[in-house]
Amino acid sequence: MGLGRSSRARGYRLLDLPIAVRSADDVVTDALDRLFRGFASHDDTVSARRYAIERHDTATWTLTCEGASLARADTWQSVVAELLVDVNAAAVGSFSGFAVHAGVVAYDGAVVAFPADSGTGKTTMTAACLDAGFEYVSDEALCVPGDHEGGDHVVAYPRALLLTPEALSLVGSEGLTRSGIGLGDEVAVPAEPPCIRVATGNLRLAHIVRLVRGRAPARLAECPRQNGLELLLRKSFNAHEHPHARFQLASRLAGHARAWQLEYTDPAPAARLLLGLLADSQAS
Amino acid sequence: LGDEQTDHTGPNRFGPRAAHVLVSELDGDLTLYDSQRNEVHVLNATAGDIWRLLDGEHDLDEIVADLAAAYDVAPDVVRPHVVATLSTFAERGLLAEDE
Repeated sequence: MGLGRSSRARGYRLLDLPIAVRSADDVVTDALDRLFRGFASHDDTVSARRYAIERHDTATWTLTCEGASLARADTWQSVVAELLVDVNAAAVGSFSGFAVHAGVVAYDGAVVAFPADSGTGKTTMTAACLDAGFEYVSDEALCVPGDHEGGDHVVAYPRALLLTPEALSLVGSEGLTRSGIGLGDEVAVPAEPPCIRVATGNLRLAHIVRLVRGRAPARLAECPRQNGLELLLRKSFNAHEHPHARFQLASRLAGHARAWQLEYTDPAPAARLLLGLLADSQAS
Repeated sequence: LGDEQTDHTGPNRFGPRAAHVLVSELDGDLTLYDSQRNEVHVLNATAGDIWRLLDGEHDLDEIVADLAAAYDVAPDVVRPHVVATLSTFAERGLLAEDE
């Protein structure tokens, strides 16, 4: 475990949240640079949410935020896992736009969202879609600023994918498996090439997909658009904060998107089915 | 549309729609968002038709008559469904009486 570097803080910005993470350990800082790839920032160092990861004499690792203890563990992986959880909650919680709990991928600028709760397979489906050829937007949140006219574009929040080893195995991607960083119970797959291409450019929500587990072969059925609106609102993190504006925004988004129900058992062929849909609709 | 065991002898006037309930219409389908309770209600076609008539101007008899004409069925057939749906709206805090 190298301690050769100074403990200068690394700066990142996730959505609207600037953070600074200080660690003197090379392995940790290298992991952080991979896990927060794409979020590097040198702005807002004064207002940043400040974290520190420290190794103590007894081989105990600690994570603090603004000086307050967040975690103590035997391994750096465990405290980094806690860091990711805390940073994600703070980033989504402080986002000034409309945020929906969803896995999100894109194809040629057309965004596909899987609004769903934690533990329902959205990250696994997101990973399967990346392996099938989609670009990555987020495994956590559909984020739309919606703060001005024309602000209905989707903002990428390409945090590292967090998967259980079982879910990663189910996806069956050698590339994702190889690039994963084991963090205790989960594997974090950084959003880095060649396995993951982050979507850029003008991203528009084109498809809202309800995931339903338990059917083989996979089947994709179109639904009324109001079902898409229902999903956006039910899985929203923050519609209640500005109900009139967010409801109008969600209605606009659902009105410009198609709604689907995807029934599946194996995420890999289901992802290929989705890719076929997108390729067909983009071609027509 | 709701429980048909509802008492049909209740008040003849319902609504109007509560001000805190936001409405979106997509492809003719109505979705309601209760901004106070942070709840979403997806209406089927018939419930949507009843909701549209809750303007404070139509009483129960008029709503029943309008729907019976629109669906070409007898008012007596429509009435219990309308009452049940209105009761559901009221129970869920979607009507102004509950504000």
